[in-house]
Amino acid sequence: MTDPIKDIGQVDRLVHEPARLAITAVLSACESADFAFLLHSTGLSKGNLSAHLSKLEAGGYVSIRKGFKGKYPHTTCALTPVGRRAFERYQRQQLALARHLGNNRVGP
Amino acid sequence: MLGVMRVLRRRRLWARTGNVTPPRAVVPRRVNLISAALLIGGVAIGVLLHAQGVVDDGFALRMLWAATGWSFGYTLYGVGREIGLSRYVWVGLTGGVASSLILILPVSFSQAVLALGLGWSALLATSGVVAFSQAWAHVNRSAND
Repeated sequence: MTDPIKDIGQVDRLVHEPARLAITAVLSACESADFAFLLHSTGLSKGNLSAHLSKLEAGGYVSIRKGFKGKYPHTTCALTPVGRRAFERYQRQQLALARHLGNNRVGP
Repeated sequence: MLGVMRVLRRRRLWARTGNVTPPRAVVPRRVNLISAALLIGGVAIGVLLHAQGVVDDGFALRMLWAATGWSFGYTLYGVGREIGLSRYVWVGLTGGVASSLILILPVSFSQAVLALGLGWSALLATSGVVAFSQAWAHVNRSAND
């Protein structure tokens, strides 16, 4: 059995960063979401969201589809299977760590 | 109707908050099997009772529609429990139990079809209105925040 404390160093930094964690958490709960929905649900600025989405896309975690809705540009994002697996792995690591810390808690 | 709902969601409900496509909810195999068993079992009981002369032709035929209602009701109930949506659980239970009324009421085969269709339509429409009003209230709350 692996030690959750030692596994902290193995955490996926592409997911672990708070803004990217918020994005992947939102996308993990749906099939796809558009840029406006991600803006609204994560509370990030447009530039910040765009930059983090690009990083996630470069890592192969997010697929971005750009199109038009009438005259306006419309961007839709979705987690790729790789991204979904990475997020699930991250969740398992965090749960294991929380459980480990909970079990080892010493009272005052 | 579904088209109208989609346009309303995109143009009004999600105009400020953006669009999101929910994950595809797949009916679990266990729920599908039990639903099929309810339908086949209901029809089989109707045929069996008719063969033994316990019930008349009309009852045996109405059993087909009652079993359809039980089967559909159980599907909604099962999916509702699977995805944690209590509204579906209640709609499934209410519709499933209400479908049994077809057996008690003195209606013909064709009237039974109409009753089942209208009953389920009313129930699903009510469920849709509840969901829509909740979403509407949520959007208005978000706009005020």
